[in-house]
Parts: sequence; structure tokens; C-alpha cells
Amino acid sequence: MLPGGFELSFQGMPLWIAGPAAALCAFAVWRYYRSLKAAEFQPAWLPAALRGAALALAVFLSAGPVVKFDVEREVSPRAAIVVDSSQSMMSKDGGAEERWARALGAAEEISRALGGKTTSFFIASDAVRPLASAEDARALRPVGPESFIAAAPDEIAKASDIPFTDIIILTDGRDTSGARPPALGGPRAHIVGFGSPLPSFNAGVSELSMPEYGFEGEEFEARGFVHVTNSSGGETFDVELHDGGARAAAATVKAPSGGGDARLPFTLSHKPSESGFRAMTVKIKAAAPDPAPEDDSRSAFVDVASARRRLLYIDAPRWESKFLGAFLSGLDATEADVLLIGPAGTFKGAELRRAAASARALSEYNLVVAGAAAPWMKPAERDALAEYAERGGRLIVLGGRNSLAGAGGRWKSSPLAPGSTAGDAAGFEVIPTPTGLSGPLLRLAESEADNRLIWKTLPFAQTFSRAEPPPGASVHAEHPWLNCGARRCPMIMDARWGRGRVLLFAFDGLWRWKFREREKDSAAYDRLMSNALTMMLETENPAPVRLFMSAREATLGATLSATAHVEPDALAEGETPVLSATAPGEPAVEIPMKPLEGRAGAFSAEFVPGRAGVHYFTASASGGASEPRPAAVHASPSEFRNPGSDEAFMKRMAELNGGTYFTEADAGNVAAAVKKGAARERASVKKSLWSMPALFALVAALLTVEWISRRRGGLV
Amino acid sequence: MRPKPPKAKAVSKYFCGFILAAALAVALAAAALRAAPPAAKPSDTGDKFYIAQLRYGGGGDWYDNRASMPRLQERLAREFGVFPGAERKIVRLADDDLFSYPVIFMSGHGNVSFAPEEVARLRAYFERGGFLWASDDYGMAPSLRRELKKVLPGQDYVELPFSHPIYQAPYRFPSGLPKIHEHDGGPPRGYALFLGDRMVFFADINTDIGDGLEAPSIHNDPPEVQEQAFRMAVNIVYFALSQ
Repeated sequence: MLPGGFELSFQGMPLWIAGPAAALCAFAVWRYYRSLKAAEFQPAWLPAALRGAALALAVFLSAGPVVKFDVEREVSPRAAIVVDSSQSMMSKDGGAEERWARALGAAEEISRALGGKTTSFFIASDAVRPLASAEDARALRPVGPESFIAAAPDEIAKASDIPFTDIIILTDGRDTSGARPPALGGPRAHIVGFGSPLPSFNAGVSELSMPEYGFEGEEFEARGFVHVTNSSGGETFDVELHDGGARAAAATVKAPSGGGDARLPFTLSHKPSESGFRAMTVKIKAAAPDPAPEDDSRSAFVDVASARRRLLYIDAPRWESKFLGAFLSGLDATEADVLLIGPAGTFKGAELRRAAASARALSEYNLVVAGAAAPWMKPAERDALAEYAERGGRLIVLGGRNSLAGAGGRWKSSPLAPGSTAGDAAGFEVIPTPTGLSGPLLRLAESEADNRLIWKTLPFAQTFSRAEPPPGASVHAEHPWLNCGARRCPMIMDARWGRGRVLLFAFDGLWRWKFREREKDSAAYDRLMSNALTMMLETENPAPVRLFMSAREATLGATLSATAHVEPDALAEGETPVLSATAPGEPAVEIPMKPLEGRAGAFSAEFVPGRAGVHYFTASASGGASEPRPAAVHASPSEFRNPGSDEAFMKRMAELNGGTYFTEADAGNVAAAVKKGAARERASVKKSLWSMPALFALVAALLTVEWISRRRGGLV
Repeated sequence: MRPKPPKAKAVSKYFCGFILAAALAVALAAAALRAAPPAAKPSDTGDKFYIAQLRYGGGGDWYDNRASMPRLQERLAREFGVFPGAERKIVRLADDDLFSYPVIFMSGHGNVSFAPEEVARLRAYFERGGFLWASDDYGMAPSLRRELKKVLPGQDYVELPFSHPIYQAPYRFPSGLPKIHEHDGGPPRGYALFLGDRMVFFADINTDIGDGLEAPSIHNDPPEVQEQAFRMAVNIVYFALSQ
């Protein structure tokens, strides 16, 4: 019987030559047989047969025969060692070392026992990442927000070309995706479990909410939940609100007597006594020991103002004022007065017109927003607004048809000159400039790509005013094709005006963005307007280095982006600023910032927080440093809700995949188990018969026997 | 019945396959278009101020009051300083450009009916800040009330008191709505619907403000009656703009 997968092929003499050659040999042998018979040699067939066989074998070998067949053999193990890098691996289980450090130690030991060359190393949380060795992982923190253990083997197969025979996963086994243990149908899966498999108690703070703004001496509320896992029933928890470092409020919540899991709501009231951007932290203190303290506190920021800021909005009754008026009136941090005037007179806020007529009265306002009412304002009112700005007031001008950008009098010397307005029924896109995209005003999404996409979807603007940017103005967006002086007409621009500052939206039609059907568009409008108000209400003289963080709050392990804007005279030649990041209870880490391409004075750096808590960031250059910017980093709730390991999951996954489950204490036996049950594989073997000396010896042997037989018959 | 020849069967099989493939391609393209964010594009209304007239289903004469909105737009330009559109804009609740019109107007004598997708769209329109003004030409009110209950379940018309700001500015109407046309007798009534504390719908019933805005030759209303209609219409639009 032929072996499995047997195949014969020829790679030497072509068959059309081999065929006639074989025929010629056969003819020669027949003639030889006839001559032996004529010589009455007995038996005549024997030398003929021997010579015929030798010739046939020679012809066969000269055709270059190659045989192929399958064999089964033992495979030396190729193992992927995967260490769970999710946040729950930070747990110490009551000991001195984190699960993460223990798992890395075990991984190194297994790798050594298997022989380093046959193992590959990975870390896995919500995604799988290959590493050169376990040593490389020691420089990292387990900050993955999820544990997708069931999916890890498939992810490894995608990430590596190596056909692994065994996958060894070192984990606490709690798959946060809710997946069941998978049957992989390929490599064996061995699991080493870390952490206690017993039901584990945990309590943490979740869903914390606070207002973004507050006022000195005015009370606000912080609301949230204490989540409790595996409660034995009736435990009490002290919940404390800390303003900066000081305890500001406290409450006690009690778990239900029945035990199990629970969400316990709390409300804490606080009356801040200091203004500023303040970190508020809610902490819980559980009566029972909590094995996962990482989620026991959560922080948020409240911008506490010394007084409510006042804002005057002047416009005509129109679609823009419908939406902007409603937005401004709905703000918590400001008190908006609305003055609506048109050709028929004053529609709303008649008493405000007295204030609008003098710069002194206008100085009561922190900000004035002026829309399309210029033709119906008295010259004295227009001049009062100009004087207000020149004396240090803040002004946002909406600059489409009937805007103040084209007004005469003192406005002729404004940074918005010449200010002629024009309509464009077909409309035009507003194009953000690189300066605009790198700054905080036009930032409507966390990521730069999302931000660019949002700006692409901005509805067309219709009317606009022409202004030539004065020296020192920042142009944030421009007209797609019209030039004002040497450059495209600015569509969003801010500039100093005397001691004050003016921000120009040189077009109409923003209301369309607010009124769009998608909630996202409306939110983008709100964010743009909030950014504009924040920008115009910030300090008079901006610092030489200004720092902006991509988010106020982030999950542990998520990347925080920092962008710094540095005034040219604050940087020495060839210097780049440095980002200083301070995690709670740790020394500051310094990260060099990289220049942003095409954006003069803008630099960026990224930071991945490895600890939960409030972090502070500062950008510094030789000419000064930015104000510290805080960011609250939270542990992933799904990772710490249940800090115990899921032994059933790990055992089942090992069982379904021909592997073995080991406890942390048995990790030293993993290498032996991998070697013992080494897999067998079928391999295809190819052999060329031409290069086998035995066959040539056989030819020689046949010819020798033939010669001997003739000699014994007396023919030689 | 004669069996189909094999070739015909094959052709029919290919045809069905082609139809299925085409349907799949259309569905995929539609899904892709839905998933993509809307790109910026010019608006139908440009830089002009329009109050669109609602074209609704159910058989009612939605198309009446042809000149009312263009004439009101002219009037609002004089009073508010907006740049008026000269023509009448008509919009259906399902139209893409519904959200180009923060205030829409409807009138008629007959039945009003909103399809389920129109009900959802009108609710979204209200939620985003839109305002619907219905001027009952006598007969439209009962069916409109029924349909609006689908849009804002659990809510019903609220009759506005004469002290309501809609009757106060810019023109004062101390006795509420002015009477423009007489059909069934009884005083004019103004009803509203609210989303939170924001008015999203106003109906003038038993008066027909919309007719009062028409060209004088249509209903032969005396100038002082027409003026009352215009003033009340200005108040309604002003309230929608300023609340």
C-alpha cells in the first residue's frame, strides 16, 4: 500500500526521449536473449532479465524521478505568552505586589523554561500588543480599560504570522465584554489565573456629576452613586466631597440588608468660598476592607467665578437672534441681557437702550455681543460700543448684513475696517485656517480628525463683511476665494482694539448649524459659542505660554493630548517647550513638545496616565510657563466593579482548547505541560531518486550478477 | 400550464439574481449615504427670510393663502429689518429643507393627516427649536388637534390668556386675537402647545389671520381689518423669534 499523499513526478530526461530509449533497450534485450538462445545458454532468460532490469532502472533514473509522500511528526512548541494588561491587574490582593508584576515574573519564568527562542510575548486588554520580551512590559503600566480575554487568541493570530502551538494567558480571567469562553480550534490554550476566585467585595464611586460652573458663596450639588459588589448587606459608606485638599461636605449611605450588588445614590452640597478652576473629589470610606481601592474616589472640575458675568446681546429680531438669544439666556455662568431693535423701533429691552448709549454704562458688562442691528442703532450707541472696546471692553461682532463691521463714526478705525458687507445668495464655506484649527476657539471635538470633519459640515454662510486683518490679529477661518488685501478675507478673526478685544464672525448663517436635525450639529454650535465666550472672557494679558488639554477628564490609559501656544519672544532660538505632567503622589515627568507642522508657535505632546486621580500639566519655555491645567483620570468602572478572578471562565477556556488551567502557585508547571503534550503535525516529504546511490549500486549489482551468470555458462 | 423551457428558466434565474444584486447595491448605497455625515451645501433659502407654508396630507386644502406669507415677509422686512424672500416657499414635513425654516405656517378648511415618519419629523423639528403656526380657515382644527396629539403625546391645546406676551408685543391686543373673518360665530381663540416651557405651536381659531394677510382683492377685507391681521401675524412671528 502506498503511503498517504504519494506522488511520482519526473524532472530529468523528457518522456518523449525516455520512451524511445526504453523501446530501444527492450529491443536490445530481445536481441540479446535471441543470441543467448542461439548459443544454447541455459537458462537464456536469466542474463537477459538481469540486463533488462538494469537498463530499465537506468532509463528510469535518467528521467529524474521525484517521489512525494506525507509523514506525521512531533512539532517543537511555539508558544505565545500573553499577559493581561487591563487595569484590574493593578490589584494587589492584599499583598505587596500587583497582579501585573506577579504575572510578568511568571511569564519570564515560563519563557526561560521553554527556551526563549520558541516563545513570543504579548500584552492584552481591549487590544493585543506584541512586545519583544516580558522585560519590555516592566516599563509599562496595566492601564487597559477592558479585559477582552476571549478575543485575545484571535487578535494574536491577526497580529503574528507564527503558527503557535500553544497560547499561555496570564490573567485574572474576568472578561469585561461578557463573551463566553471560546473554542479556538487551533492552538492549545493554557491559562494561569491570578487573584482570588472567591466572591470579592468592592465599593466605588460612579456616575459623578457636578455643574461646570459655580459661584463663590453659591451652593451647588454633586450627585453620583456608590456602587457595591458582593455586599453582605447593611454596610455603611462615608462619602466625602473634597474641594482641593479640604473636606467640604459628607454624607453616609447604607447598602440594603439583603446583600448582593447595589447602586446607592448620594447628593453632596457645597458652597465654594474661593474662585478659580477647582478640583472637586468625591471619596468613599467603606466600613469593610476594600480590595480594589482604585475606584474609591472620582474627581471633577468646577469653574468657580467670583461673580456671575454679565453679557449684553444686541441684535435685530431674526433667525440668528432666535437661536443665539436662547443659547445665551440659557447659560449658567453668565447673566444675559437681550436688546432687540429693528426699523420699527425697540422690540425687547427698551430700558437697556439707555445703557447702550454710553461706554460708561456698557462697562458694567463683561462682554457685548453685537449682531445685525447697526442701521437701527443711533450713532451715539454705535460710538459708545466702539469706545467700550477701546477702553478695554470685550466685543463679539456678528458680521453679516446690517452688522457693525460696516458702521461709520468711530468704527472706521476699528480692526474690522473697511467693513463693507455683501450678500452671497449661493453661499460659501467657512474655511478654518491652521491657526484656527490648532487653537481652542474652533475646537469642537476631542480629536483633530473629528474636528476637521465637523468644520466640513458647517452649513454655508450667506452674507459677509470684508475686513483686512490688522497687525497682530489672529485669523481663525477665512473665505474660500475672496481676498481682502493680500490674503483671503477673514471670516473668524480676533484682534485687539485699543485696550479691548474684538472677535469677528464675519458672516451670517450660524443659526442653520444650531437648527440642524442632528443633535451633534447643535452640540457643535453650543461648543463654538461657549469657546467664543470663554476666549473673550479670559484674562486681559494672555500668558506667553498657553496650554490646552484635549480633555478635562480621561480614562486611565487613554492618551491625553496637550497643545501649547508660545509667543515668539518666549522661545530662544531652536528651543521647544517642555510639558511637565504630575500624577498624584509622584514626581513630575518632563516630555519635550514637538512643533505642529505649519502652525507657528504651536507645539504638542501626548501623555498616557498610569494612575487614577487629578493630574496637573504645565508647558514651559525659557520665556515663561503656562498656568497649570488639571485633568481628572478615572479608573475603568468595568475593571474594578468585581475585583475577584473568574476561575470558571478560565477553566472552561483551557478545557475547550485542549490546555490546562493553573493557579498562580502552579505557574512553574506550565512549561512542562506545554512540552509534554507537544502537538504532532503532518508534513509532506519530497525525495529525488536520482541522487540515491543505492539505486546506482543496484544497477551495478544487476549487471555484475548478469556477467557472473554468463561466465559460469562459459560465455565469458 | 406549459412548463418553461430550460433556457427560459435560466434567463429567469439570472434576471432574479440581477434584481437581487441591484436591490442589494441600492440598499448598501442608501445605508452608506445615511451613515455619512451631511456635507456642507448651499441652502434653498440663501440669505433671505422666509416663512414656509406646510403641505400636509389628509385631503385638506393646504395650498390656500397663496400670497399670505410673501406679503407677511415684506411686512417683517419693514419692521424687523430682515432681507425678505419675494416668493412663497412650500415645505413638506418629510422634506430635507424643513430645517431651513424655523417658523412654518399652515392653513386650510379640511382634514389633516401626518404619516408616522412625519409625526417623528415634526417632533424633531419642535425639539430643535422649530415653531408651527396654524391659521384655521374654519374646519381644519379638529383633525390637526388629533394629529398633534401623536406628535406630543399626553399634551393638549392650552388656550392662551389675553395677558400672554404673544398678544403684547410688538403690538398690543388687550382682547386677544382680532376677528378677521366670521363663519360660525363665537370669539376668536388662540391655542398653544409647549415643549418644556417653550411654545412650539400656535393656532388661531375662529378668526383666520392667514386669510387676512391675503391680497386685498381675494377677500375684500377692509384695510383696517387687514392691518389687524398683519399686526397679529407680526406678533406671532416675533414671539417665535424672541421666546
